[in-house]
Amino acid sequence: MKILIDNAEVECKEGDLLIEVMLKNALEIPHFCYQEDLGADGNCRMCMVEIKGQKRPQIACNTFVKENLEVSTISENIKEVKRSILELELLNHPVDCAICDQAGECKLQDYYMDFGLYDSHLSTPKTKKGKHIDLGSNVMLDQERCVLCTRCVRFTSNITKTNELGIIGRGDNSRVAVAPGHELNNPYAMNVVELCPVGALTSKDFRFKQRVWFLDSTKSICHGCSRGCNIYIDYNETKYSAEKVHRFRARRNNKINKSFLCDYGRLSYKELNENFNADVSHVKDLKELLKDEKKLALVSPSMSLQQLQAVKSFCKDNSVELFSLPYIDENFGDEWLKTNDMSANFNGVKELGINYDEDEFGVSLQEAHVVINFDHKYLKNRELKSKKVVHFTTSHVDSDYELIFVIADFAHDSGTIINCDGIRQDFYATKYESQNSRLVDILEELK
Amino acid sequence: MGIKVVHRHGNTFKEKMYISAIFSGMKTTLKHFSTNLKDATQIPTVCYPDEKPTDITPRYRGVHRLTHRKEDNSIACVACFMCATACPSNCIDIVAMAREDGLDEKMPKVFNIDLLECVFCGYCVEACPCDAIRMDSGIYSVVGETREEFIYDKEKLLSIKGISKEEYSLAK
Repeated sequence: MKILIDNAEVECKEGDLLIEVMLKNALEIPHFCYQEDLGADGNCRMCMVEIKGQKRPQIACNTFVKENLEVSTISENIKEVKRSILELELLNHPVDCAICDQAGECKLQDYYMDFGLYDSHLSTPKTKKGKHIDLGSNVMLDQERCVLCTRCVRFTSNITKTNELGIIGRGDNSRVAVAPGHELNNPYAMNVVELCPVGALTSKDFRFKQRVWFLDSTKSICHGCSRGCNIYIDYNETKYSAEKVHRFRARRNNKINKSFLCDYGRLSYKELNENFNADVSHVKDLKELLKDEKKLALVSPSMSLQQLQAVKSFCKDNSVELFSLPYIDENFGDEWLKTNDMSANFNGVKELGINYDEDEFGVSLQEAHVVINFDHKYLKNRELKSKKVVHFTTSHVDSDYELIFVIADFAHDSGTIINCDGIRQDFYATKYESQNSRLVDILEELK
Repeated sequence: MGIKVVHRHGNTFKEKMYISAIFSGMKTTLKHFSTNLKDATQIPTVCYPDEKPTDITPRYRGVHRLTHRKEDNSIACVACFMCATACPSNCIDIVAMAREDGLDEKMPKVFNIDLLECVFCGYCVEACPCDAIRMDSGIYSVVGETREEFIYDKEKLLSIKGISKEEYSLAK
């Protein structure tokens, strides 16, 4: 079936939501309350369109497409409607973009520049509401900036079912709030920051760290657990500061995480900023060590398939016994995104046929003279007496070691991982060169 | 597109000789020479650095300064990074922090301007939404022995006085 949107034919199915059809075809449709995973609420009225044969403008998030539908989003009349609605939304807005972290990715800013551009008609003082209220779980609320789209409220009531947030008050005084004495407290709470189309909910963790237009983004996969949620890594390097990752943002993937992330995964970017400086050993010293008879290697199950493959062939060439143990935390998982297996690529370990039997590993560890640790957390802070330990590591190592090689972390090395449901996903390296070599390159040098 | 034919000068024999042009030029030179000889006080040349310029106005783009708020004399800057964004030479380094005194939410923890990198274009002043950075100090000469001395930090920039009559930030 075809419908006409602004005189252009668009392919769709009978009964589709008009706003979904438009978003799918990358057509401009301003909206606050509609979100792909939360559905439409119909309260913001920003997605007004003109439909041929209907007297008044209709909201696209509550219009189902049918045969011979003719939609206009650019007529003078509809532009005027949008301008008036936006003026109402912005009536009591404090316009403090200068100190608002959302500036640069704010829908109010975008729409004002697209359809607004009016002067305020307000002659009375603006309604004052609460500012910088700490809601808990790293979320800051500014009630004055809110457009009452209820995305956050619907997230806590429909998705997490924790019901912390609600709208209280009437008319001008309506505001998002938590019940007195309560706070926003669930392991997915920081999603409301990303859901908020304006600067009402901002992250305490990211607060005042960077302006968003200075950030670069790279497509990546969260390495916090085996779910493999799709993310953007937001990072930058400025003239006066070294490269730093500032946040993770959820990247839409309908099969895995939709547009959400857990707080643990969202805050796991901090590991990427831990600079670990060690005097890196020489590859030829490792070659010397490899002459020993009894050698054992333990590889992290969070490494990419490419890294695992390189490690596997390295171990085969040098007759090293190779193991990998999963990171299991029985208390971490839940019914939604989090899984108990906190290794990003344990399915990859299985696919490559790497031994993950814990008992066999224990026996081999006792017999081994040389232990090579490929970034596995289990051996990082463990003293192994009378054994020569070689670390390939991305982060700090506390125990004694014979040799150490600092390798690039997953933000600086591209690769493929397989998530808990067997979905293969690629992640990419940030645009800045890492000061540490990639594991694959070091192993290549050893050949 | 319409074409306008412009008459090109300098092609006649008289013009190619240059003699008349040299004499008319010398006439102007001699006129000024005799005027200055009669009254030396009217010579516009300033013997810098023995003599300092006297015509520096508030509009002159001198060394930057950070303004204060009228209410409590605190820093007017809210660390919005507009100046750093507008700066073509990338000479402004800002680190923001939360402001605790209730007047505002945000202020700069670090605000450094590297005067050796600065091209004194004034874009930072244009971009500032808070009238927090100005170039009305009237300072046209900065001297130092090390590169570090040319990096003006927040305290230094706040201590510089302006020569315009508005001392405080005019932001509402």
